[in-house]
Amino acid sequence: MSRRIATYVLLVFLLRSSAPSQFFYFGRNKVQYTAFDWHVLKTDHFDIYYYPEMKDLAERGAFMAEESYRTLEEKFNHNVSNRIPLIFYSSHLHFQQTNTTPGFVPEGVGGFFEFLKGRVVIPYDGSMWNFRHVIRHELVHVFMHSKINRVLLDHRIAQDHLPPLWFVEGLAEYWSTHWDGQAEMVLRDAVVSNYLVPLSDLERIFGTYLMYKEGQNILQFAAERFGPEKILLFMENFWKSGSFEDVFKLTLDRSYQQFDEEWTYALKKKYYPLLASLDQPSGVSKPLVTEGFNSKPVYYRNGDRKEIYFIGNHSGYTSIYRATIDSGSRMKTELVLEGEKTDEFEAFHLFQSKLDISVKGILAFITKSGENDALHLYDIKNEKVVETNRFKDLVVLGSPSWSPDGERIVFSSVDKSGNNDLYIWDTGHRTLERLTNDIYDERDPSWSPRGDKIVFSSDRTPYGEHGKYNLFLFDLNSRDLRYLTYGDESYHSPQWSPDGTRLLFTSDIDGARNVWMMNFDTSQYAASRMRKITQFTTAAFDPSWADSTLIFVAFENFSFQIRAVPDVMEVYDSSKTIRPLDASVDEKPWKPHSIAGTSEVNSLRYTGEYSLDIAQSQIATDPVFGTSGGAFLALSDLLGNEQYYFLVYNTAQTTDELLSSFNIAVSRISLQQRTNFAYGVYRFSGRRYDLSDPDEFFFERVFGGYFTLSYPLSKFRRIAVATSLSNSEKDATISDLSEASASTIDRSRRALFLSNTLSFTHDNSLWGPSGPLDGNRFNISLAYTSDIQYSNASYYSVIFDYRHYFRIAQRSALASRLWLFYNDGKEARRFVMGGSWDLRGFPRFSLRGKKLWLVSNELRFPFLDQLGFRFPFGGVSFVGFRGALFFDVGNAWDDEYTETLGSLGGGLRFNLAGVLVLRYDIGKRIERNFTRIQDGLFHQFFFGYDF
Amino acid sequence: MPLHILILMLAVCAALQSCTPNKLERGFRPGADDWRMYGGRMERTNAGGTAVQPPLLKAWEYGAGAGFSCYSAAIVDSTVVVGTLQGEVHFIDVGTGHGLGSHDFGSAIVGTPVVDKQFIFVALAHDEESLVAYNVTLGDIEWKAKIGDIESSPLLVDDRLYVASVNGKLFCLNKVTGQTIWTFAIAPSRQMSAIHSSPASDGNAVFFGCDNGDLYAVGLEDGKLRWRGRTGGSIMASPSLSGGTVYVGSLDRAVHAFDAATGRQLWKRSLGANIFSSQAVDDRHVYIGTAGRTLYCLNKDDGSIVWTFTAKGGFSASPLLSGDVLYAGCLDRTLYAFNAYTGEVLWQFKSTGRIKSTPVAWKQRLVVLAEDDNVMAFKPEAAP
Repeated sequence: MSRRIATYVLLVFLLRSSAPSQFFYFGRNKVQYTAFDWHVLKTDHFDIYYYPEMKDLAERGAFMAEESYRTLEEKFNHNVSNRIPLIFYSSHLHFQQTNTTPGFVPEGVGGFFEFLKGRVVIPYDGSMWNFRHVIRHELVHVFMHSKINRVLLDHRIAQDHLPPLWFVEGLAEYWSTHWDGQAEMVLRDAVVSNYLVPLSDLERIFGTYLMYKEGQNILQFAAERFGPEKILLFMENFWKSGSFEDVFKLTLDRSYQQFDEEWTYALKKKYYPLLASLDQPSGVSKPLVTEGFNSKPVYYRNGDRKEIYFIGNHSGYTSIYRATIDSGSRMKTELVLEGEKTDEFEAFHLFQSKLDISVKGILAFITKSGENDALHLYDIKNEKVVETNRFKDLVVLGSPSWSPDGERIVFSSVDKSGNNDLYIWDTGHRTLERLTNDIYDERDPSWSPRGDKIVFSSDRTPYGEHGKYNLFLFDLNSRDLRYLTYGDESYHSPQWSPDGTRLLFTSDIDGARNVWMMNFDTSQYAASRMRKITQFTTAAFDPSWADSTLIFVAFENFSFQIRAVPDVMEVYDSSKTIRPLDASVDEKPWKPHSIAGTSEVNSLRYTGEYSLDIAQSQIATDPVFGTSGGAFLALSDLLGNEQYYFLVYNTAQTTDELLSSFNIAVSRISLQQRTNFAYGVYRFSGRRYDLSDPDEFFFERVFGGYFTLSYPLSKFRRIAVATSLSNSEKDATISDLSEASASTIDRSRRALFLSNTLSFTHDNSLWGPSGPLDGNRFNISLAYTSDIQYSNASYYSVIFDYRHYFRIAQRSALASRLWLFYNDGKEARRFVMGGSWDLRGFPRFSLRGKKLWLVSNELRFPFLDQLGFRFPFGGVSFVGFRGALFFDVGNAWDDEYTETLGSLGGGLRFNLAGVLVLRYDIGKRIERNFTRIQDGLFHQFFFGYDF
Repeated sequence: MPLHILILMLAVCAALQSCTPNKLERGFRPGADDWRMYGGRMERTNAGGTAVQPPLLKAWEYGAGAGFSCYSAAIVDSTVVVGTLQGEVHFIDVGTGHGLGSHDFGSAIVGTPVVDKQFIFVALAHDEESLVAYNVTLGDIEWKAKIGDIESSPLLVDDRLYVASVNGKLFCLNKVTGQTIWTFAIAPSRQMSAIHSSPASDGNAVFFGCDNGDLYAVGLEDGKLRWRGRTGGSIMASPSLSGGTVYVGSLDRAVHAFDAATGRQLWKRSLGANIFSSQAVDDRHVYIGTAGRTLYCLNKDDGSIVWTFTAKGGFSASPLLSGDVLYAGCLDRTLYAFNAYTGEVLWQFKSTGRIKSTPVAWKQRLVVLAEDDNVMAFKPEAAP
C-alpha cells in the first residue's frame, strides 16, 4: 500500500479543512507481503541492495554492473562520481512490492532509474542475459543523466531539461543490447504494415515499446550512416540549444524531416523485399481471435465442440477466454475467468505462462494470488475452479503442462534465490518434486504424450550467455538431460503432437521467429532435421495442436492475434525450408561471472540511509488570510520504506503574533511491513473558516497528534483505523476580518478532541483517460469524535460510498454512484456538495448539511479521438475528447429534509497531458422535489477526474 | 553611522571588488617558457617548458565560474590566459593567482586562446563570427571572422592563424586583419565531416583529424591537400608532430603514426579503448591516455608499449611532459605525476572535480584546470 497513507497525510497537511477529502480514500494497495532482510554489497562503484536468499544472484549482478560501468565509462567519455545504489529483487513479484516508487509497477516494467535519489531498481526474471541487459540499460540512464548535467553545468546552463524520451530510451537500448529478433519483429511490422512513426512525430507514441525500438533504430542508423561518435556528440552538443531538434540538426546537419526521408527510405529498401519470399500472417492463415492482445492458446475437444482457451486482454483486464472454432465465421469469444478484479486472480501473466488442459478436462493455469503465484485447476465441464495450489518458497510459476494421465503437472518456477527451474506437482499425492536446480533459465516445459519425456527451452548451452535458448529433453526414467537443438539461435514453446511423434516450436534461426516442426524417430526420440511451417515477415508464437491444425499467435499490425493453419502435416511435407539438427555439443555450459572472485566486496546489513526527497519553501498571500511563509521537507530512506515529513510555516500578520503563529507538523510513515502505519504531531495556529451558512471565520490554535494503521487484505481491499487527539481553541473575535463576516464570529470555545475512525475500502476499478470504466469501488467509514475535556463537541460520522462501473463497450461505460453521509451530535461537521464533482448544476459547495445523499449516473463514451488544426506555420492537435451524459439526484440537510434536487445534461472531458482532466458540463437543474426544471441551461467548467 | 548606510557602503565595496577589468595594463612580453597556444608550439607536442619537479604544493586556486574543455590554458609573461565553457577569458597572475581581468565573449570557448603580444585570438564554439582577435590593452575587439562553430584550438604560425571549424573547413587568416587567405573544405560525404581536432604544423603543412576518420595534411602556404591518411574511427583528438612523423589517436581505439611528408602509415598500435585524448611527444616516446582508464608510453619508432598505468577513471586530455616528468589529469579526479621513462608514479593530487584538461607548466608553476571550475597552480615543495 500505502501510497494511500502518504496521500492522506499530505492532504491533512496541505489541504484546508474544508477540502472534499471524500474524493481521496479509494485506490488499490501495494502490499508488502514479504519481509525482506536487506543487505548491502559494496563494489568499486555500486552499493548493491539485496536479501540473503539471492546473495549469489547479487554477486553475479555486481559483476555485470561493474562490467557495464567500464563499458559505458568509455562510450560516454565520462564517469559517475557518486556511488550508484542498485536495488535487486530476485523476481518480478518481489519487485512489485518496492517502495522506491509510489506507484504500481506493471508486469512489463523490467527495471527503472529513479533520478531523485539516483537509484536503479531491477528485478531478475530467470535470465542472466536479460539481467545483464536491464542492468546496462538502466546504467545508460545513469550515465546519460550525469553526462548531460555535467555538460550543462560546465557551460553554466540550468540543469532543468533532458533529451526527449525517444532519445533517452533509444540510447539505453542501443548501448545495452544488440538489435534482436523482437526488435526486428516490431520494426518489420511497422514498416510492412505501414505504421512506422517518423522521428518528427515520435511524441505521438510517447513511452510505448514501439518508441523504444524506433529510438534504438534511429540511433543505430545515425551511428552507422553518420559515424558512431555522433551519438556522443548529441550529448556534448546539448548545451547549444534548449530544443533537442536543433541539437540534432547541429550534430547531423539534418532536420528531423530530412533525417526521416533517409531513415524511412532505408527501412523500406531493407524490408519491402521480404514480401517477395515471406508472408504477412493475415495473408496465409485463418483468423481465430483478432480482438485485443492474445496469447497461449490451447485446444480442447469438449464433446462435439472444438474449443480453444487462451489468455487475452480484450477489456483492459487480462483474463482467460474461450473460443469455439467449429464454425467457418470469425470466432466469438467468451470470458471464462476474469482477472485483475479478485484476490485469487490478481494478475494473469499475459505472454509469460501458458495454459494446459488434461485428458480429464481440467485447465491448469497460473495467476498472481497474494504474495506469490498460484497454480489453479479449473474444471471445464463444471465451469468452476476445483483446486488452488500455492507452494512455499516458489515465487513465480510458469507454463504448467499435464502428464498424459492427468495426474501430474510439470511447470517452471522462480524461487526466492531467483533460479528458474522445473518442478513436478503430483495432484494426487500432493507432492512437489524438483527436476532441475541451477542458474539456467528453464521455460515452456511440455510433457510428452508417452509420459516419459519432458521437453523444455533453456539457456544452458554456451550460447545462453548471449541470450539464446535451445530445446532439451528430460528423461523421467533415467533423469538424463539431452540436447535436442544446439545452436546460436533461440528455440521456444515446444509442443508435442497428440501422438508424441512430432514437435512444434518456434525459432528465429533465419531472422524472424516462426513456427518449425521436427519429426521424431520414436524409438530414439531423435530428429535429424526440422522444417519451417510458417514463413512470416513478423513473428509467430505459442504453437499448439488442434487435431491436425496448427493454432498459434501471430504478430501483425501491432496486435497479437490467434490464427490457424490447417493440415500442418501437409505443410510440413511440402516445406522447402529444412535445417539439419545437430546437437553435438562443442563446449561445456557457460557460467556467469561473479564479482566475488574479481573484486573486494564488503557485505553489510542495511540500516537505512536517509536523504531529502523534497525541500520546498513558499510564501503565499491571500486577500483574507494575509501572507504566510514556510517550508516543507520530506525525507525517506533509500528503499523508500520509511518516510518523514516536516512542515513549518508562519501566519503572523504582526510581529506580536510571530511566536504564536508558528505552524509545525512532523509525521512518520512506515511502509516496510504489510501493516503500514503513520503517526505525527502538529501544532497549527491561524485564521480559518468553515464552510457553513454563512461561512464561519475564526482564529484557531490546535495542537495534537495522530496514529493510523492500514492493513491491506489484498491488492483490492484494506481496513484502516485511525485515532487522533487534538486540543483546539477558537477565538471569539477577530478584529481584522471583514465586517461582513464579523457578525458570524461569536463561537469561542475550547475543546480536547478525541477522534477514532474505522474504515473499509474496496477498489478494483479500471481507469480510462478521464475516469473509471470498469469494476467497482466501495468505502464505508465509521468515526466518533468527542471533546473529552470540555464536552463542547460530541458527534459520530458514517460515510458510505459505493461506485459501480458497468462496461458497455471497449471504451464506454455506465457509471453509478451512491453516497450516504451522516454526521450527528454536538458541533457535528457539515458536509458540502454542489458543483462539477457531485451534484452538477449547483454552485460549488452550495449545498451544506450534516446529512447528505447523492445518486449519480453517468454514461461515459469516446466523443472525438483527434482534433487537429493546421496552420501555415505548423499544426496542433488534441486527442482523446470524451463525452458524458449524466443524471444526478440528492441533497444535503441538517435537521429537516427539505427537498430533492437533481440535474441532467451532458459534458465533455479532455485529459491534458495525463495529469489534468478538464471538464465542461451543460444541462438543466431539477428542483423543488423534481417539480421544476430550470428555464435555461447551466454551464460548468472545472477540472478533475470523473467519479 | 546609520546601519543602512553602512550596509550600502559594504555592498558597493563588494560590488567593486567583484568587478574585474576587461583590459590589461600592458601587452604580453614574449619569453622562453611561453605556452602561447595549445600544445605549447605549432607541433602540439605538449612537451617542453621548465621541468616542474614533484612533489608539488598547491600554490593557489582561482574560481573561473564555469567548466573547461579538454584543452589547456595558455601562459605568457606571468599571465595565465584561460577560456571557459561559459564564454569568458580570464587573465590570472601565475605567481599569486590574482585575477588581472576578464572578458565575456558570449559563447563557449573550447580551444585554448592564442596569445600574441597585446592580442589574444579566441575561438568560439557556437557563434557565427567565431574567431575573435581581442586587444587586451585596449579591452576591445580588433576583428571578428565568420568561421562558424569552432570546437578546437587555433594555430598560430608566423603571421597566420589556422583554425578548423565544426562544419568541416580549415581556414587560414591574416592575424592582423582577420582576412581569410585560403580555405580548405573537406569533400562532402554522407557522413558529416565535422572537425573537432586542432590543427598542428611542422612548418610545411597543417595536419588535422576529422570526424570522418581521416587525417588531412594541407599545404601551409597554399591550402592544397598534400595527403589524406585513413584511420578506422573518428579522430576527435589533435595530432602532434615530431621528427617528421605525425601522431594521432582515433576512435578506432588505436594510435596511428604517419609520415608527415608522404602520408604513409608508419605504424598503428591498438590500445583497446576509445582515444579522445591527444598526446605528448618527446624524442623517444609518445604518451597517450585512453577512455579505458589506461595511460600508455609508446615507443615513437614502432608504437611498441614501453609502460602503462591504469587509473580508476578514463583519460580525456593530453598529458604534459615537463622535463622528465609526465603529468596527466584523470576522470578519477587525480592529477598524476610519472617518471616519463619508467612510468613510476612520483606524486599525485586528489582534486574535488574531474581533471579533463591538459596541464601546463610555466617556470616553476604547473597550472591545472579542474571540473569544479577551479584553475589550480602547483609549485615544487622546494620552490619559493
